[in-house]
Amino acid sequence: MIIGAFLQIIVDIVAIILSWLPNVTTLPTIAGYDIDTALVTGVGYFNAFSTAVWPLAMVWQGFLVLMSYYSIKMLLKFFLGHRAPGRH
Amino acid sequence: MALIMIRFTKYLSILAILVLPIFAHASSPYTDNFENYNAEGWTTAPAGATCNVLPDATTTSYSGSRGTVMGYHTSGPCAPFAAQVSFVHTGTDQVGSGDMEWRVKMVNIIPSAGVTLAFCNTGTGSGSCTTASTIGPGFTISSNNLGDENWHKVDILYSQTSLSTTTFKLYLDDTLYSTFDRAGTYTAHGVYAYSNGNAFNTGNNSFIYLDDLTDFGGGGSQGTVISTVTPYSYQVVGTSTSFGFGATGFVTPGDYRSGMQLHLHYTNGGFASTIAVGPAFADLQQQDSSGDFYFDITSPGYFSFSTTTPITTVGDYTMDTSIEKPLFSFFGFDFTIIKTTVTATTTFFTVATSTAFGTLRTSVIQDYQNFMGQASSTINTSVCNPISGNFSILPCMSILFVPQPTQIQSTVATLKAGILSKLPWGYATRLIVILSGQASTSLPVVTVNIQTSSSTATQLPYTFNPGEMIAGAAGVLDSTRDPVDNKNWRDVFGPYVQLLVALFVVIIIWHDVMAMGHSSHGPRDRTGKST
Repeated sequence: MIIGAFLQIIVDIVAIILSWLPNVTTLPTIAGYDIDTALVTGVGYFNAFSTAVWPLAMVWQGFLVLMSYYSIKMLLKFFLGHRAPGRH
Repeated sequence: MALIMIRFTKYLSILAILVLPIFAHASSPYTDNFENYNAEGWTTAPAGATCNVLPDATTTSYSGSRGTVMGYHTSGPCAPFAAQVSFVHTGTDQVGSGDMEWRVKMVNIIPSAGVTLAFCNTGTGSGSCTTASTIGPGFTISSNNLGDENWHKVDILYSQTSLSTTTFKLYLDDTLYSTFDRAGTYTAHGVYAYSNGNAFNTGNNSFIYLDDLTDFGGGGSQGTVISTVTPYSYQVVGTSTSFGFGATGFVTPGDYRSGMQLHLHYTNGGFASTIAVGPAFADLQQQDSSGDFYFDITSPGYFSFSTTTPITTVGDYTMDTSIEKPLFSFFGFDFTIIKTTVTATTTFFTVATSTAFGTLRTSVIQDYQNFMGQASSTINTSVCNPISGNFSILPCMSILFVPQPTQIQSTVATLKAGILSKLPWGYATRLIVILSGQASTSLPVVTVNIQTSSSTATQLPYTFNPGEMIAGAAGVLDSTRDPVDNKNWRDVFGPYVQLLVALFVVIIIWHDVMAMGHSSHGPRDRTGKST
């Protein structure tokens, strides 16, 4: 409970500091092309196709895990700069 | 020796504090017939009591004792609180046909008005409820008396077929106490009678009662009253497109008449603000704004009405809340145009523009209320109470230091809503949310008209539905099974594909991690320069 409350306080403080920033609910529409709807529909098609071709779903999950790893690495580089581990 | 005497005296006094209430309890004047509780002094409570909440999970063993105070408050409004009491049923209590029976007498509490009377069987020993029932299954409202005492009697039948020791909890939820949470004066009692058999009032009962001692006089009956209004008096509220108005109260059967209404009228004239609105609100200025709400009161008893409306005009408001009924009826017809006021109250509130600080304050308060609400509802904190029978050091340490799943969920929800969704990285978050979505969309159906070979003028439409094709293919793949283990393609090859993908991902990450620290511009010499 103590650690949970501590984490909650940290998150709340950061949320308060960032509260002036607008929330992103959808991806932008560029030149009349609704990227958000297109991606949602595309992923929906892919999921429908994956119900039969199930190996695709597993490959997709692996891809997402890999992308998560690269995202974390990018975040570390963003916050730590040249002190972040990895190739420079 | 003097030191020993002092310590002995100290321990003796502690012992006396612990034991004396038991003797006082044992000498309770209550008799078994709770039907006449008023005459038996059920309204007795500790002197000077104001708002007192029963500790959670009070366990009491009943073997003829009676009259345990669950909780009480003598002046309102008190914050809503939950009370519960545990029954420890021992095998020897069981009599009759084997059914356990409780009789609950609830005074000035109406079960159908949102009251939750929960009952659960915790199994042997102590612990939190594993199953709970609210009024409904397992409960039978056997009789109602909405007369001067205004009580309900709820009989609880629980089939107890074995003689094992079992703990039952009978508790009243927060919603019940919302009926107590009012500034009016009234008398309310929740009286719980425990009977270890099917013979009530035969000298074999034990009692637990919940007592509310605010007495407005008149022998314990409650009059028609407006108990709470929203916004409460002198509240400062931010402008909103869904500004909440409401009221709760009680109408006696004697005052009730068909066509009765609750009338809320608000106007921002005639109230000179003396309220310091503080840093949470700003832009106070008087403008004209008013409105009316009417709610039909269709039956006597408790009522609770609320509505929302846009209030964007700042200023100081006066709100008149009244219960109105037709002035007279003629041959059974109520003349609803002409009304008389049964009771009324006037309150004041201020509408101001919320500053950014005010909005933040509201969100943070709500956040912590959710956090603590989850903590109190999902974590059994009684294991950290050193004077309770449930105290256990290891679970207590675990609760204190290991974040609980529900709290982590709460924190992650705040993290997502308050940080990750913010511009500009919110676009990345949105992209991840879309890519990891599990919802599937029906593939588009394609229809083409193809000219037949027999007639050049005839074109037949051919429809290609990839969704049906996929469903058919999936059906064929899933239904094709090997004759030995009866496994289909996915059962057999799925784990291998998963292993292959996982290995591939791990190898890529491993290679990347191992390469960290090495220059991408070739090996370095000892001086740190690239060769």
